[in-house]
Parts: sequence; structure tokens; C-alpha cells
Amino acid sequence: MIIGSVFETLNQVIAQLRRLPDVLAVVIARRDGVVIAYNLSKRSDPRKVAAMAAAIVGTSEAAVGELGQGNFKEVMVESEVGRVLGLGAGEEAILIALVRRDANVGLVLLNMEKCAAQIEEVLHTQDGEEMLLTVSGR
Amino acid sequence: MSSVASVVGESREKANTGIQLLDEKLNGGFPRSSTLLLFSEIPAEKRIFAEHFVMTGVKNNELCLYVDFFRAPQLARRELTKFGSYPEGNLVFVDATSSQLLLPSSEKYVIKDVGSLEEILSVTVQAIRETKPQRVVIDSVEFLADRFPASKVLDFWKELTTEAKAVGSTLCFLFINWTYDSSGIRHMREMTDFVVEFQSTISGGVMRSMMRIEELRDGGLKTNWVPYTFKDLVGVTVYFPRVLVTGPFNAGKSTVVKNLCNTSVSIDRMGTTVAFDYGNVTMMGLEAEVFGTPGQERFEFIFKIFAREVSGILLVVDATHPEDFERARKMLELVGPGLPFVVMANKSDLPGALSPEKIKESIGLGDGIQVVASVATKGVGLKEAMKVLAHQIIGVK
Repeated sequence: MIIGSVFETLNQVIAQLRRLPDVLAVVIARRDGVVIAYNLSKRSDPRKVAAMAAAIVGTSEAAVGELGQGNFKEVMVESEVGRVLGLGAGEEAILIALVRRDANVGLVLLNMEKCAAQIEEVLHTQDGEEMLLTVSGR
Repeated sequence: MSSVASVVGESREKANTGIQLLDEKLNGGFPRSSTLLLFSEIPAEKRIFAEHFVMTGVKNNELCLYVDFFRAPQLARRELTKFGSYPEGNLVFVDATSSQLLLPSSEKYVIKDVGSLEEILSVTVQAIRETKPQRVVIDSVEFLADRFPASKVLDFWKELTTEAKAVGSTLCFLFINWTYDSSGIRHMREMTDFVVEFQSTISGGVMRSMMRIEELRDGGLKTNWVPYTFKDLVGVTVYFPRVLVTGPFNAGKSTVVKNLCNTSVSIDRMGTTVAFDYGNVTMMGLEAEVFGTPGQERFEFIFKIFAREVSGILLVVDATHPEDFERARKMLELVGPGLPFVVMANKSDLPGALSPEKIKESIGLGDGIQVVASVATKGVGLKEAMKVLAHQIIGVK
């Protein structure tokens, strides 16, 4: 698989989530906080958001483990105006979405889980050793 | 602030790369009258470096010649504005594309039939002789290798190196090796002074580009794989995706991140970092993403999140607290073995602060380590430490 199609698929995943009226922003980040793909308002720095998302999801997972609460599923951060939802997307990635305060969280999460599976799949197909890729087309 | 601007005005005995860190490694740049091979085994982004190299020359007011088999000159000129505005008169094209597209050409040097290696050679040689360019790019040899027998292409190569040397040009060939066996490659290397090799990798959906410079004469320099990125209006920049700032509690890590970086954010509560500090620094043709970790053991799980793809480590210690040095050693181990690191002897202005030499002796990390004194609160020693680390990461044999 060449890199172009990896990013194309990831951007499709983001577009799919953004089509839900309640979803305001989406970030796909690597688990160590490196941004992979995003759709964010210009006010937010995607690199900072990705690093924070990695800390939120990573810390939540660690907390669940420390408290003996089984496997981590998702994390939800509530604020006055909205919610931030985060979950793992396979070994490599995490998926974060910003939704409205009055959003149908269940519906959003259902869609996020589907998207997380797609992200896992597309990143898995070029998993293993670091793969060398076609970058420039010509 | 821009890497290109900061080196303008130096003597131009060498063809500088415009990337200050690399120019320092190269003692100013590539020698004049030398031949560069920009090489990759598989397709990778070489052209951006070739363009950067030419545009650095153009902005230095050198005359540069670009032999382009893939792009019509009017398109190339427009694309090259991604390096910012430039004096167009300094850039001369040998147009080998318009004829392929059946377009008219308004260039002085035009190759009408790319099926004739003789014509390609004669037009290029004429352009070199008449314009006496300081830099020449041949984009690319694989175009020729696909069409002509290897021996003829190697002859072409040889002719051009002779012509370029005669007028003092630094000559760059771009080449992806689809075609040649090891003897062909060996032959090319024999006619080359420097190989700049390119590689792109992807891991977890994140792509990285890297390059490595090797001087082919005996005892010549050879860098490690250096990650790089392209910045609009600036050009090719050395890029460290993660520099970890770590060290014991209260050593001054967050202050290092804050005062080293142009922009930063700290997730701290009650004076201690509880998650991470993040900042971004641009200096000397380098961009680095800087991550500060918490110091206390109870936050060690944070390490597991951020201790990946680490280019290098700034290990911050409080120079007045030698009892914490053992903890510092342990934190270095926690990140992983064999990574480049620099010890920052912070708070070095306080009474009782140990000197960098003393710290080198007492910290127990070997004799070869580098220790830089710093006062993070005043911004002293921060860029120096980053520079020392950058040189370690780029390395040189």
C-alpha cells in the first residue's frame, strides 16, 4: 500500500465522522502523541491537541488498569460547551472527537468505534517493520 | 531567524546547503568543482533537496542551471516560489520538457529531441560553458537510464563532470536506481565526490523523510540518517520529531522547554508537570518538537506514552543537587538505550553549583558525555545545549 492511499483512507474516516451533525472536530493521533490526520478549527494547534489526546487516552488506560477495571473502552471529557470523546484505534492510533454538549453520544461513539476499526485496519496493512514507500508520483 | 538568511554574507568558496547545521558539518558546504549524487534505492523525495540546493544558490546571487526532463520551465519557475521570492535571472533552465509536450519553448537552451543523447549532451555542455553556473542540477539520470544504454549514460555523466569542473560548478545528479547493477553504481560512485542518500519511512501512519551525506574520498565525512522536512518559504529543514527533556524533579525541565521554544504549552499543577510540556523550536536550519516529561516516579507511566521515536534527550539536572544524579541516570535508562543525549547542568548560577566538568565526573555516564551549563530561568545555555545535541544526532564519522 502506498502512502497516498493510507492518508486518503484516514481522511475519508474523518469526513465520515464530520458528517454527523454533532461532531465538531476529529483528530487521529499516534499513541505517542504525533498527529496523523485531523479536521480541527484553525484556533487549535493539531500538534498540541494530538499530544494532549495521547496523554488523556494513555493516562485513562493506565488508570483503568491500575484500578483493576478490565479493559479500557473510551474516555469522555465534559465541559460547559461540549464533550471530548477519545478511544483507541488499534495498537498504533487513537481517535478523538469533539462533540456538542447536547449530542447523541451513543450514536457518535458507535460511529467512532466503526471508524477506529477502519483506522486499525489501514494502519495494520503497513504494520511490522517500517515500510519504505513511494512518495513522489513521477 | 531563517536559516537561509543567517548564512548569507559568508565567503562563498563552498556551495552551502543553506541549512546551517549541515553547513557546519561540511565546513561551509560542498566544495566547488565537485559532483553530488542525490540517490535513493526506491522512489523518495530527492527533488526537494535538489531544488533547495539550487534555490540557496539563486538566493546567494549565484547563477544556477537546472536541466529538467520532467517539468516545463514556466511550471518549474512557479513551483519554485514555494522557496519564497527569488531573483529569476539567476536561474537558467535547460528545457528538455517542452518538446516532449509539443509545446513551444522560450528558453535559450532547449533540447528538441530527448531521444538523442548527443543533443542532450551538446545543449547541456553549451549551457554550462556559456553561463558558467555555480550550481547545476540534472533532473534526472533515471530519465536517461530508462532510454539509453548504461555505458552511454555513464559517458554522458563523465563528460558533464569534466565540463562542470572546468567552470567551477557544483554538479548534482538525481538518480533512483531502477536499472543498474552494482558495477554500474560503483562506476557512478567513482565519478562522484558526495552521495546524498534519501529514504522515506512510515510508522503508525506517520511519514518521515531522512537523508544521509557521505563524502566518498578516504576519511571523508559521513552523517547519520538525518530527518528533515520542508517548510514553506524556507526550504528543507532538519527536523527532529521528538526531543525529550527529562531529569529529576525540580531540575527545571519545564523552564527549559518554555524558554528554549518559540511556542510552548505546559500541563502543570501546583508547580509540577503532571502530564507533559510541549514546545517547538526553530534554530540554525533545524526544527524540533520538544517534549518535557514529569520528574517524579509516580508519573513514570507518562514516559511510556512519549518515549517513542525519540531523536535525542536533554537530560536536565540541578547542578546544586548531586544526590539526584542517580535518579537522572535512571530516567535516561527509562527512555531507552543508545540514544544521543546532552546533560544540562541547570541552575549553574546558584551558589554551590557543580561545574560541568565535576558533573561529568560524578554523574557516572561515561567520559564521552557532553555537559552544558545552563540557567533555564534566564535562557542561558539552552540553545547551546540544543545545538550540541543536534550535532550529536546528525553525527559524523
